[in-house]
Amino acid sequence: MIEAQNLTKRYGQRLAVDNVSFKIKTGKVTGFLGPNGAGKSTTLRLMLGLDMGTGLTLFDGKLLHEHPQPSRVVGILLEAKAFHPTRTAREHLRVLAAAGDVPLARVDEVLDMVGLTAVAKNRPGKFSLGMSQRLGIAAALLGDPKYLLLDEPANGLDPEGIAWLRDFLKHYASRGKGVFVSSHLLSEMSQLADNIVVIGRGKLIADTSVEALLSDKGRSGTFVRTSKISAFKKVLKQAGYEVTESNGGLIVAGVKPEVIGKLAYEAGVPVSELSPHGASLEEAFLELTATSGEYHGKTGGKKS
Amino acid sequence: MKPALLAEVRKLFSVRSTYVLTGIALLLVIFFAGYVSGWRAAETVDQTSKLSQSITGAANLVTIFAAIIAVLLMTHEYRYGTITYTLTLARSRTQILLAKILVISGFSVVFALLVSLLSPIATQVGIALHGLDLVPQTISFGDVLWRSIFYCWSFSMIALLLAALLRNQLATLIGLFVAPSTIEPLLTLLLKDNAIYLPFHAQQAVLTLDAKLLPGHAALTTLAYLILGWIVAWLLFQRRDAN
Repeated sequence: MIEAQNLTKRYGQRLAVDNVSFKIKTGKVTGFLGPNGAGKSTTLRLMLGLDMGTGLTLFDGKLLHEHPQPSRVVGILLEAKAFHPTRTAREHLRVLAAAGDVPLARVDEVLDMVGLTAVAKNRPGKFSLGMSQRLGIAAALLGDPKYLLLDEPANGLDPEGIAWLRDFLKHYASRGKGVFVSSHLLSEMSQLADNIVVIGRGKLIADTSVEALLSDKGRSGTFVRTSKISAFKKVLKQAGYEVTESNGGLIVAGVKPEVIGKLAYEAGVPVSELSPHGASLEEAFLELTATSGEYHGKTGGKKS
Repeated sequence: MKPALLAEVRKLFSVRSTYVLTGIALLLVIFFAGYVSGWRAAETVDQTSKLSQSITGAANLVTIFAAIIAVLLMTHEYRYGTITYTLTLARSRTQILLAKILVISGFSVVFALLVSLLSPIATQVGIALHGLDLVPQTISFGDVLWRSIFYCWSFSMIALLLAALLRNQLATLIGLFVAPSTIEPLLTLLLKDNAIYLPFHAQQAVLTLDAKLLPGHAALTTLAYLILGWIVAWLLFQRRDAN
């Protein structure tokens, strides 16, 4: 297990990461979410000891550099383009293999895993973002580490690449390893992650399972479609439920379909659709981080 | 320590710039020692220190290339972001710094030996091709060799040190040219005779000989600056963010 404890990083007056603690379990993919500027990358760098702050991160109870071979403990991808542009892809990995005390034969194995064998002798300076990401993933896999820490690994990958990455990371976690992956692709994360860590403005907002996040009261409920929307809305409100109109029907928060069905029957309201409603990860994320965004855009040129 | 050393060796020899800069340096040695000092300076074949001057002159001329290679080994890490891997994979930051120092030390010594070997050969070939004979030489190879090697090594170390402190390629290269050519001459106006103890003055005095500072003393002065500088660089390397 990775335990991040009270991670804090300050740039002058600004707290980039504020006393953040969470755990990353083996056998699971943990998603790391947060708006732009929330402090995700800084948190990752603090965990690895790349940036100097306070707090500590224990990898199976020890600091990373207390392990005899850090390359066996954690594989990282922090920047897709972190390579010398004229050093060949294979040589780039050989340098990292040497640094991590990993057998050089492993280099060709990981190149094959990420589908870059054909371009192993090429200089990566002209690689597309997707190819660079694959090279970065290969670098992370070199030591067959127990944990993977990946910062936006899906950026620049084509749909096939994203599907490959999703399957690969799920399979990696299923081998009893831990995967910690930050991403802005929320739909992708909802398919990939078992657990979610959310930060905003440097503070921890949530550290929970995806299932618990989505089924949290207020984010789950019942969708009901009826020809008497106004009448049934009034009935539901009188019964004390929180109701919102959506997609030609009503969403009733925090209640199961059978309860709504019974209410409709008693009120004599005809129902044409009645189904459980679960919020998407995107909705949950937006709700959690509503006040945590560092940068907000405007719609149609109007002030938001 | 061994993985860090092997990684630094691979870094050094897996980029084009190492070969291009070394190649240019050796071509310059052949040109100046063979053509300028040999072929075109046939009237000086009666000088008994001709080969000695050829070696020190060549070292003086091309050491900058070894220094640039040292700068690139350090600053490429920051420029291309590979420092994140380097720091994560190693067990300590001290090992990384030590590995870089050892690898550049080894490289600069071999570089200096190559230059010291090539330059007298090129000079003699140049003179012979001109149909002349060089007078018997009075040369203390040991003395010339240690001074040339120390000059090349110490300049490379200063370059690596600047790179470790500044972590920016352009700033380091500018610093490497501006410090000896502008800053020290300005300081000389203030320090007058004591200016011989300035780092680049002392380091230069090892090779080109200065009546006011013996080569041994000049080398010790240079070493003192290097030790002090590396202590500061080591402390900063332990405490700075990796960017």
